[in-house]
Amino acid sequence: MKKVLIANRGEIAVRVIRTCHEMGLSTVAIYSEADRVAYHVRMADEAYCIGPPPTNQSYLNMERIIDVCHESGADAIHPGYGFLSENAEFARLCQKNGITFIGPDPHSIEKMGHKTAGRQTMIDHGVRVVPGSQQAIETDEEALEIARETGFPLLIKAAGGGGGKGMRLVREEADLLRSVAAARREAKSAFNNPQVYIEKFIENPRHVEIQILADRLGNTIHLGERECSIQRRHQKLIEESPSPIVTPEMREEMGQMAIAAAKAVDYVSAGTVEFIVDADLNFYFLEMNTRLQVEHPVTEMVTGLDLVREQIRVAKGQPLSIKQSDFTQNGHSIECRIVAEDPFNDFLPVTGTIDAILPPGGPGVRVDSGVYNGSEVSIYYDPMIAKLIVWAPTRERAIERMIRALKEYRIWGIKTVIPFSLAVLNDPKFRAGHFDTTYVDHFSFDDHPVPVDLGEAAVLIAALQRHHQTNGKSYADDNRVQRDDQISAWRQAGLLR
Amino acid sequence: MKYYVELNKKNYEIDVEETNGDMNVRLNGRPIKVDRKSIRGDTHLSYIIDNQHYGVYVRSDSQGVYVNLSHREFPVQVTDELTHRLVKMGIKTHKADRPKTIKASMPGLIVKVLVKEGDTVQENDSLLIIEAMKMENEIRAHQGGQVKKVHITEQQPVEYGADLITLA
Repeated sequence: MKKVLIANRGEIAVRVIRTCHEMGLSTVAIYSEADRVAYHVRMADEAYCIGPPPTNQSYLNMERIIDVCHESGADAIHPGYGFLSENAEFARLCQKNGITFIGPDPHSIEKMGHKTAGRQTMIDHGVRVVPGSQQAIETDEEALEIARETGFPLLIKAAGGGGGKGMRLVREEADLLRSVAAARREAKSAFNNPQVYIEKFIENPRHVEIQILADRLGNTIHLGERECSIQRRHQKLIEESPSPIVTPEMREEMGQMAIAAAKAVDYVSAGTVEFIVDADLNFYFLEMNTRLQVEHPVTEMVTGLDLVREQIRVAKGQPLSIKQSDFTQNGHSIECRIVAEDPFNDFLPVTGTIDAILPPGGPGVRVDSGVYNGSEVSIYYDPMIAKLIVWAPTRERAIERMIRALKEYRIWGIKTVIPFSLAVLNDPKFRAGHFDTTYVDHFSFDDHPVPVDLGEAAVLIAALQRHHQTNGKSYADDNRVQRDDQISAWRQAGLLR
Repeated sequence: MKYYVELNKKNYEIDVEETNGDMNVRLNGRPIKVDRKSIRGDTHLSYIIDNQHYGVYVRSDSQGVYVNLSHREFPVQVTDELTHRLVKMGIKTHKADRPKTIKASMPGLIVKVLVKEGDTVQENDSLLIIEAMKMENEIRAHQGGQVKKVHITEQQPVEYGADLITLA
């Protein structure tokens, strides 16, 4: 392996390029017309335009990406996360063209991608799944029978895909059949596959996941957990490792179950096994993400490993650089996703130009960013612009450090979720470890008031800005300013329109 | 110069006097030490207020001045002395009874319009669903009122800031 094409953009492309360069591998960036001056394009050794901005004509265009490999002489592809990272067809296309896909084999991706088949495979290998139907539901009678067996409330889920499409929460039997029919229709239109299955609905769950590493020499290990319960619409916002609720015994049991899940599909490379944890700390397999995860840095910070380096080693046929018996978690790490969304306006995505950005620094702070001064945040791609990661010896100190670093971060020109992240980190409930995946639904800024002096500073600054606009030059020097000001005063008073 | 400033329905009075280049500033009568330095133009500034440093980003439009500090945006209304006196004389500003048009807070595709002209809506009611970055986002009414005009139709792409719905 000499030259790696990164089939991605944004912070993850930048992150992968960094490790490649440390390993002496040269890098090839691909970019859409909207990303001509993106950070990853500036970082890589070579860059190739692959099409117009929409993802299906650029970052998802498999043939074009393979062409760029041939053109540039790249002998490996790192897919990052999202886009083609969990696309078995793409992994197979790489194989066929003699290009190393830095990730699992196509058949492993396929097995985990199909929800009901994946569920059955897990059950067969002794992995505990959320109680419910083992296969897709065929008839109304079957639905009723399984629902009664599982108990209410329950979830109806699409077999062909995720992301909340084709999902229905059913609290009582009277609503069951109507909801099954609706979920089928939705699943048909979203995934062209009307199959649905039933799962017990776990109230107020936590989301905890296990990082897996596996090489081609038969070593499969786990690297402990990540706590990812602070999420909104299935999008995580704050992650940490270790989890405040996971005990050493629970970690060992979850780790072994995750290894069993990975082995069940002949998994190699880095992967993540997601678990749902109920109030009594019972945990159930949810799904496996067959790729590098967004929040992988918190695991890197507490284990001292570089997961991309491990992925590349595995892809070259080398053994993992760590044994299970050497695994320890040192200290505590937290990640805050810096997402261009307005937390004061229902987390609506925002677009625009980043006028100025100044990331934090100092001890224990890592910034994985995909933007710089002047970068555009467009409608075409994910609104996550960067990740801020901190490490400290304890959870308490990691929280203090994250608050310090978030306050230091200057991002001007676009709104981000940072005010939300700060409010969470200051929340006594979060600090005590008492939270679940419904946290964001109950969150309100009314419970986190702005300090009075900040408001006063804003008021002063606004008045002084106005003062400088009108008096920056003396009145005599610039009559026009004064006249405009007068006109606007009359206009505002309603005397002039 | 006196400025009458409003933030979150709270009113402040600010006095600015300049003598020999020194700025004397009072907030509600209380003297405050202010030093202002531009980092870049009129938008990126460094303020030291009573020895506390504030890095600020400021933009303004016809609606007011938007002060960004500590990751928050404060929408501030600044009224100068003349306007304030006119308003006090009993000349009502026509700002208050202007119809409120809800604008697109992001570019995207209108997936569903949930109201029609003439409908009465309550604050927080869903008005329409807009799809951006592959996510569906609900647009809600910031205030109650009657739907005066629906500017968009389903399946229509909209730009940032486009008129969506006017409430009266």
